[in-house]
Amino acid sequence: MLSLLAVAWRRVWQRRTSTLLTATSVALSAGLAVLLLLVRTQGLQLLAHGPRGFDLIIGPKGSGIDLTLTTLFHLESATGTISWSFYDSLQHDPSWHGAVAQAVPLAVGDSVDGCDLIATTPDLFAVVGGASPAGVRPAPSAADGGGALAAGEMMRDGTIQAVVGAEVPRLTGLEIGASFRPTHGTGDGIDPNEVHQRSFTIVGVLAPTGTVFDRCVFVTLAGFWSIDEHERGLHDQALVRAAAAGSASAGASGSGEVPDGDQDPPPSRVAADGTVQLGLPVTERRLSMILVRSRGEFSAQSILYRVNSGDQAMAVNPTLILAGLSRTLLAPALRLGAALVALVLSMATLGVLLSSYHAVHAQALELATLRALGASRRWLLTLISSEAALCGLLGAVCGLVPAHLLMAVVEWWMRARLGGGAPWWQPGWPDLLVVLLAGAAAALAGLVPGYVAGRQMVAEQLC
Amino acid sequence: MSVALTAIRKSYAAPDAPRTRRLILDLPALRLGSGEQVALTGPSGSGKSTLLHIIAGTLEPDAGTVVHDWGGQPFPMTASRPALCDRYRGRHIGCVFQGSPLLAGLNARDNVLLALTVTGRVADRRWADELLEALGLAQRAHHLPSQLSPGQRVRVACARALVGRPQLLLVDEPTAALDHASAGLLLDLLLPLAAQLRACVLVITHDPAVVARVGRELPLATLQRGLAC
Repeated sequence: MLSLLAVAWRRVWQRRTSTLLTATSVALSAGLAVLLLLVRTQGLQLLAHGPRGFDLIIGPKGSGIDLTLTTLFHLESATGTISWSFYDSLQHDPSWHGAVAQAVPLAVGDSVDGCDLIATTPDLFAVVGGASPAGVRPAPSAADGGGALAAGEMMRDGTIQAVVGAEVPRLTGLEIGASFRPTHGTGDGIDPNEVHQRSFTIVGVLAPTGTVFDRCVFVTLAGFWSIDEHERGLHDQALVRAAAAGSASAGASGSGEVPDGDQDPPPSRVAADGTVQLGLPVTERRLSMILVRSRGEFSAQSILYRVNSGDQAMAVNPTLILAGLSRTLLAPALRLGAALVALVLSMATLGVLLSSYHAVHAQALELATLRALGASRRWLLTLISSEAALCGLLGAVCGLVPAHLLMAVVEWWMRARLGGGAPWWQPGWPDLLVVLLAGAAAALAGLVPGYVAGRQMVAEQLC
Repeated sequence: MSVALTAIRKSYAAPDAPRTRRLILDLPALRLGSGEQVALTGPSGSGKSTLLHIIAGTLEPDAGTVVHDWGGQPFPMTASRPALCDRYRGRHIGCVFQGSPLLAGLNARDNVLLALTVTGRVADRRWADELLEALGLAQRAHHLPSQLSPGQRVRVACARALVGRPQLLLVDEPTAALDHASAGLLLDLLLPLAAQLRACVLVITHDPAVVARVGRELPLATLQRGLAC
């Protein structure tokens, strides 16, 4: 059956060189639009997933943005510490119990073959594991050994055991049963010569969470503090703090952070069953940050106010921080990107219009013949508009390929630095939206030359 | 059943003096009936093609009426909306124009079927193939226009004009680009087919050989009202 669309396609194919050029310009702009939409979707998903499972982060006084980015995405290096006693009070001081549902301590600063090392308690996996994206079994509690485990068992608190994120075995070759020694520093600050002596043994692999945790190695806080360099460093920091506070006030401060004299603490020992006997006094133990799950919005506000009123630590609501970042940085960037895409798409549409207009004049004899055969002006309008739409659709579909290839690079970077990211090859609503939009815009652009085609004098062309 | 032209006048702007108009057609009356085969003759620029387009409804006269009556209600071509004229032309009139333009992207058979497609009729492939065969193009049905000789292209255009079983066949200088032998062959094939359909045929030509084959000559000058052609 020779349909209007078949005639349109054959005519488009007949002038394939000009069609190809026009479709290329559409492909570039459509590809750009798809890429922007995919990045936007991924970015928003990442921001939405980031703080799930807990609603507050408590860390050293400083930048709330830094603290949030360090905790959620490991984009910054931790710049300070807070005392263990502060965490201890969150856990055991009854005055916090009405507001704090759960608090999970974290200490960071080391890495293993490029993967960040996080010292924590198994409670972490109960907090974030249950809120991770689909495909991960929720972790009802830490007591069962971590419900978010894919293989092996959960590390035992107070030991030198470790569990690794889902991608760590692939990235480092470290499997269950393997031992490793952490390197000091994270990200660009890793010094390959500063390898700690303490060795940890991997006992479990976590199920994928789609977050940065998939690329992290987890050890116990006791194991972390038992590292020689950490013990000495924390002790030295305690001395500096004490000196800064003054010996007189240090004795009366009641902060609980006064070091036990100038002598080094006894070295930590590891028992035969892997249990760490820490030499570092409780008063000198420090954390990088604490994840807090409050009992509700009001409780979260109450914690924020109380923590920030003191001089020991700072609390931030990561959702608000990310929303602020999204509002102040991401949204304007996306708006600018959208404006650019609209401009480029408009140019491509104009290109379709000009190409179509040129074709109408170049093929005026054919169009006059069609009119002479009985084709109405509306039929010609539909034909020319369909030709333009085919050109737009062809270009848009071709544009999906470079867009997804570029998205592969973006996704690789996101997975490496931020965690998460949907498979780059997977088509989604941005593809369909852009293809339909490009087709519709091209079809609309074809209306102008289609109208002109219908108004051409048939007799002038055929005489 | 016939087409009747009454008091047709058509003028064009003179190329050397755009504000003055040159009257090219002043035709008191013309009637062509079903089954007639007529050769309209006259020198170049005398208005033969203009008259053909006015009859086909692809050109409006300055004055006068053209009424087609090929069965059903008489159709006033000069007083109808363009969309209705297009529809009527597509269903009742077959046209073969100078140069026999074909759609370059369609093969011979699809060019023939195009006449049915544009008017929303079912593509009758068998009938199209029969016409192509009758015109000696059975082996060329799948060839693109660029793969056909000028004579073959004219024959495809003729098949396209006939595929809708028209009551009126308008043919403008069909042999202009052909040698005598090809021109003779074309008319020997076309005219019997048109007669078989009982179509009225109006052939514009200034070729005496064509006139001889068509049979009845109608010099345009004899139809005009005192115009010097």
